Amino acid sequence: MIHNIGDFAAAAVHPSRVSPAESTLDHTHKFLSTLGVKPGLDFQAS
Amino acid sequence: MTENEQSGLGGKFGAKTSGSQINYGHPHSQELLQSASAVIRESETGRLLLKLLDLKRVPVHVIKGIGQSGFSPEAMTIYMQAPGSATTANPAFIINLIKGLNEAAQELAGFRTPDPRKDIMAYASFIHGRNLDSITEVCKVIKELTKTPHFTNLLDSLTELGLNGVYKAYIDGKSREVLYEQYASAYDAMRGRS
Repeated sequence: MIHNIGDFAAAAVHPSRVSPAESTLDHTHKFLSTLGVKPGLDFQAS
Repeated sequence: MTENEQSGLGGKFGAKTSGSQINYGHPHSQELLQSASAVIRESETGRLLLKLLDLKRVPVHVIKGIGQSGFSPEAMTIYMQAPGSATTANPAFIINLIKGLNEAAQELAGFRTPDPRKDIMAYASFIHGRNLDSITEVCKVIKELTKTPHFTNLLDSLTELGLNGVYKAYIDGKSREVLYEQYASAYDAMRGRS
């Protein structure tokens, strides 16, 4: 379940080193929400 | 399958093999993925993640086995493992698929895995951060499934994986630093057992 990276204990990594300035999950969700959406399609008059 | 379609471990996953080739593909891969997706799709965040499968943005290979599942940034592929007899996804399979989908999404969104040969500490920090993010995503999906019949089994499975501390910290709205401490404790305990 947890990606094992051998001898690198997670406790040896300070939490500040794994905290990006911008939230990775928020950015990833924004990316996912754009998938499959054709730009401008929602605004086309029928 | 034709000779020209062979790839990877001696042929296309799930395809029949011949001669000395070993077939690692799971005979029920479609059923496993469909049953897992059906559960994940009940959550709003899960539906977002499943766009990767619906739009065929990332391949998922289901392999017969009991080893680790996960996303490979080198192959840009999610590898799932399940016993050969499994015909429907169990909670651990569902959790691993959510985690793998989130990791693939992170990579596609531009958070590229660094080269461990250049800076091993940067690599370790990145992998632990990605682990934490994808586990946080699992917690989010499970929380969204609270009122469904799947919730208890998923939570039990998370506990078996040693991640109940992360889930509790997530539910309590704790900081990323506290979530990391819970994750680190689970990771290092798992490493001590292996």
